[in-house]
Amino acid sequence: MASTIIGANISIDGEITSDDDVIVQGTVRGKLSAKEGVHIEHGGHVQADIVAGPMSVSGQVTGNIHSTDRVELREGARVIGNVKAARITIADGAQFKGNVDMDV
Amino acid sequence: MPTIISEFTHIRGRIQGNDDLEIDGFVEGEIAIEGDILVGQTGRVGSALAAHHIVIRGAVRGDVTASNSISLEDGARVVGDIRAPRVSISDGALVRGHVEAGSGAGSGGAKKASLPTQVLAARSSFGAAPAARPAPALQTPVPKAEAALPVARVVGPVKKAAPPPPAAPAKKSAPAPVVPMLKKGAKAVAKKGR
Repeated sequence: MASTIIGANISIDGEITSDDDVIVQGTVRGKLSAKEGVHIEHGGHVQADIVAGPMSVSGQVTGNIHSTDRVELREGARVIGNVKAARITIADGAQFKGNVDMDV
Repeated sequence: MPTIISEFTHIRGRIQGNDDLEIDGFVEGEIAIEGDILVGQTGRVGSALAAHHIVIRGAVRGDVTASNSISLEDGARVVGDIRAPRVSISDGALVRGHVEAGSGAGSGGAKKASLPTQVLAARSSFGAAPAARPAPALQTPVPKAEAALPVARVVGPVKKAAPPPPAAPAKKSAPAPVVPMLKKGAKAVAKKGR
């Protein structure tokens, strides 16, 4: 399935709903929900609550993350907000401030 | 990598920036890009579009403004005003709205500069225009039918059967052009969303 790509020089203010993967290289403000994966790449900037399947973050996120699968905070990621997910990995070099809820 | 809004993606909000944008999904909200926009066959846009160069193969409800050119290709359905220095409308594209082509258009200037070439190119949209006109007519038969019905009730069932049929085909034939196609799509999106 084709994925939705928000390019580096694009900013979206509003609500994004997708049944596909969403790749963010630009700026998103508002709300982001996807049935498939959400990947915030290096340089991507999200100020939104995110509801998604598997997630990877290499860019910046300000907002709460709710994943039905796994969340990977990769090197260079900067996340401020609460993360609720089945599995979480935080790589060395990732910045994170918030609560983690893993349904223990 | 250009920005792509895929088929099963719905964006409600404003999109801006300078990059190329391909819309195969549904966008409700103003789009202002300093780049090119392609609205694909499955793409639907529910508000105004502004960019350098715009190609439309899907549905747009809103004004379309380009600083360079706009081309409406086969399958395009546009309800709204179109304004650009260069406008092309291919056979199979449907338009309902004001078209302004020529220098001065597209920059937001309200000069009228309808070129004869553009009018020729808009042949297909002329075909759509008479079909589009019944849309107001859609509203006129309804009061007629409503007016006829009480009379029919007083007079009897014979007349009651007579007036409604013309109203019903009128309803079916009228929505042919652009608006219902958008509505159909909107339903599909609602289904997908479930």
